[in-house]
Amino acid sequence: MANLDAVRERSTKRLKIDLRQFSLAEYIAREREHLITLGLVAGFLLVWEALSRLGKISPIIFPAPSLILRTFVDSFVNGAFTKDLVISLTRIFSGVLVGGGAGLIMGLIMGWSRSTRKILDPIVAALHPVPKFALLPMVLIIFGLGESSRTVMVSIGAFFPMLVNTMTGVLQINPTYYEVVENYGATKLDIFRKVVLPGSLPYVMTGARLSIKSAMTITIGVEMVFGNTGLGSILWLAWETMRLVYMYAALLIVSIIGLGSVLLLDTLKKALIPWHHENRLA
Amino acid sequence: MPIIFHDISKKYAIKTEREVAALDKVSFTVEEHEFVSIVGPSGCGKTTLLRIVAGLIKPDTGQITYQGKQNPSAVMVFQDQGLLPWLTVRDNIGLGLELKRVPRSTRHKQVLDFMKLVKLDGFETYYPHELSGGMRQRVALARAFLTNPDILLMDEPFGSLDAQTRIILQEELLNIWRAEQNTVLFVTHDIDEAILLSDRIIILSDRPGRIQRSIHIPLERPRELVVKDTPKFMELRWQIWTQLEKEVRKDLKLT
Repeated sequence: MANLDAVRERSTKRLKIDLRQFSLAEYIAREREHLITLGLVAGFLLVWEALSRLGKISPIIFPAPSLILRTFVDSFVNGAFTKDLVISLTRIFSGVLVGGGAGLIMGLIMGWSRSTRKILDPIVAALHPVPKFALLPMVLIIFGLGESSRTVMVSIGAFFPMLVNTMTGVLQINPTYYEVVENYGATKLDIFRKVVLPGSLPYVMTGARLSIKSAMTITIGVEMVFGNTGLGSILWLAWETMRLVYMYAALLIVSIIGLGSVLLLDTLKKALIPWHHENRLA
Repeated sequence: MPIIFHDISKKYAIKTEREVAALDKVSFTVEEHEFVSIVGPSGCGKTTLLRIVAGLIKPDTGQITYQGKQNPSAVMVFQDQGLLPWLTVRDNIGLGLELKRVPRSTRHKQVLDFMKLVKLDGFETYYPHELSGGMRQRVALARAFLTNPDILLMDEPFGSLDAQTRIILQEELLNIWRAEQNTVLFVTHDIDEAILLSDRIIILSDRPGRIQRSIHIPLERPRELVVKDTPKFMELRWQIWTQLEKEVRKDLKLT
């Protein structure tokens, strides 16, 4: 019975917040560091706002944060950025799907099969450090000026972080876990389902995070070079036409995409790997 | 029907130029429902022997026969890390049955019934990292017994536990074994543990492992912890230690 009570208590503990006992002093003491962080950011924005409005810094180069925010909100209301936002998100997503997906499969194979790893690892080791953006001219020659060049570039960027992390994920699995399932007569498929896949999942999640990050960087970069569609092109165009408030608003959108992807992955992590130590304290 | 271990030898290649013999023509018999412990100096091939029986490595020579067939089903309880961290206690205990394709509903029922029997109920949804080392080994034992193989293999299952937890788990193992009566092959460094649990103790020699002696433990069952205080127990402990001491000294080059 005591055991069952412990289970119940564990599941309800998080929901218990007694409002009668709420004390502002305690709250401030507990959240001190977070409040200081907030204060620093708010202070920085306030000083920027004041200096920009007073003309102490150029309002053209550093438009007031309130103005940037209004442009940001307006752009959603009038749909100025919507088309480009969707285009950029599609590019990031398809790059992660194609490149990250290929990286995941290759990483699992290279992690699990020693001979495949021995054959391919030197090639991966040689290609991985090449700055992927340097490949753009070559990709343009091979795939032309259309959308496929952009997808190939973003996919290449998403491929390597996923591959390397997934492979590491499979390699760090404790060998005893394989013996446990083999001892019970597991087939290859069982070993994959019960050990290889779940065991490498924490590293796969890290790979996904870096893969998305890389896909975003290359998407924005490629869009700047092409200059006709996507958030990267808005950033570039805003600079060329000196409408910098648009540049800052677009930057804000790009940061939100980045932040959103991290939050999404954190949520996914809690659902997929509840057993992992990163989640233990949560 | 006894399980017959015949002529088992295993050599390991070290850097391809030198070979080290781990086991040399080891032959013995384990009766059905018998609890046999294997003791011996470090590196005498105890673990190698268990891994051969578990089917994790192949012997160079020899075979294991039971009821006229080769290689009886054998399940290993590892010293630690034997639970998969991504499976809950319930799924870890049911892993053996799952891999033997026992359908989900029967499996869940069997697991829950067994968990009640070994007083693990209430921990179904816990992950291994939420349990103490002693609890984890209880779960590992539960999984092994529930799978009900021809022979249970235990490779120092309490070796990484503190002395007190260890005593409790030895009692727990005695209790489960009394109810389940599986044939057990148990490897340990701990002479007291071996005497307390076993019907018979096999002493292996220093490398390459050969059977030095087989000592019958005539203590009555069911056994309680107090048996350790009896003159018979102390006599056995001394008898086994004097045998073992020679081998340990050889291993340490102290002869």
